[in-house]
Amino acid sequence: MREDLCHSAVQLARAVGYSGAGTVEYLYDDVTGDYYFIEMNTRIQVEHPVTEMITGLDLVAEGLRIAGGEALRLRQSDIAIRGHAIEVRLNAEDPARDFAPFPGTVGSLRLPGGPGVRFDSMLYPGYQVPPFYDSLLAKLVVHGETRDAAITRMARALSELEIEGLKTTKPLFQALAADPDVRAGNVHTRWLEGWLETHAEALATASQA
Amino acid sequence: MLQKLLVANRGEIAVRIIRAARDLGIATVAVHSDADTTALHVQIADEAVNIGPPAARKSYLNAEAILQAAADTGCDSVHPGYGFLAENAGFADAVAAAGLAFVGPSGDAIRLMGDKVAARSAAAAAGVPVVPGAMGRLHGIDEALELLTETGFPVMIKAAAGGGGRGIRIANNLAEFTQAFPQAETEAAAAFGDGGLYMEKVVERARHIEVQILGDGTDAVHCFERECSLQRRRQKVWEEAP
Repeated sequence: MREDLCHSAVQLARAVGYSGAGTVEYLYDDVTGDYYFIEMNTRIQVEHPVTEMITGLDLVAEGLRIAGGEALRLRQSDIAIRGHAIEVRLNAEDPARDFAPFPGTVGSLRLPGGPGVRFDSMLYPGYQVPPFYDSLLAKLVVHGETRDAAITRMARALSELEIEGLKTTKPLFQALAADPDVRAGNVHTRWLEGWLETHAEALATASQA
Repeated sequence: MLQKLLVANRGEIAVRIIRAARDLGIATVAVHSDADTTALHVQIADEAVNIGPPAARKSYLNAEAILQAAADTGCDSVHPGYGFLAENAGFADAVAAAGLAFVGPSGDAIRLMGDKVAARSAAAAAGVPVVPGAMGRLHGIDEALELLTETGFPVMIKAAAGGGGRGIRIANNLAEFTQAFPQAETEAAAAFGDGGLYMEKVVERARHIEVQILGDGTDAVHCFERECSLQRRRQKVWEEAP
């Protein structure tokens, strides 16, 4: 299935003479194994680092080379997967108050590190988050040899992360990293909204901590 | 190789792009609004240009100010990042018309993929499976009933002129469908001044899978897939690869 799915994206990119980094989105039916095109995003995406973590590529750099007139440097056989990567979006939002925006000033900052951890962010101590824009502050990305190892590493990295002065979506990700359905990969596109309804109270408590 | 890049964005993605450019030895110019004078991307770029007031439409969406900044600083290229002007075909065209390299696809490719019906057709033509359903608007309930023999239930009846989830009805069986179809027609006519409908099979318990591709205008490769099913209000919050 993976080969067909990925190949179909390449076919579409070739058909439209696509240049640069892009993403072809699909709905995947777990029951039948069928997949369907939803749309193509003609830009670098927020979640591009998880692909970089498993392939070792720098997608932004490849895009810059192509824009500079170079032909693709990579053949399909040059690109391989190693391990598993997970990214979470740390937004300046309060999970206890229906994810209301929470702009403010960053106090002290303790960042996660060590093997397999990447932190793409706009934060520094004393930074005042302006209220005018998207609430995305940072993306915490982890890599592990297996999906299991990556989830465990995500929980570890989240436990190291402290962003003083702001409410963020960190408690949501701590709860998800500990959830058995997430661990088992038992999710679909409507799963989180249901989960949020049943876990609202626990999330509110965690967010006050 | 590019020599000097204007990064037409802010936040973590502007920082990310500046880092990649510097790793390649490309000089960088940040742009920023009045609200972002102390932002990290402004601090780490080689140069920074204030392009206007805090409101995005007066700064990060102001194509004219951004192109002026690129000209004033001698840039040979513009990276749009994501959001803001990233999928604005007119902006990609304007960057090219100014003699600069746009880091991304052509305005025509952006335009094609931005039109959801055209994109669906392009995908189908390239052999990519699309959600079973009507390829355009339906000409009455008879055509819809015939299509149902291919799609099966449940199906979504959508207003052709709708959007943002408005004008959608779901039918789980034939009885519901024959009742919902004329209602949807009346409702669409009242809400959008256009009773035109189309339909798509509902894919239940679906995962969101996406494939990263890289193209050079002629050839393309994939960098495998990502799974982004954990979403809140259609916003991805947790993403995995593969």
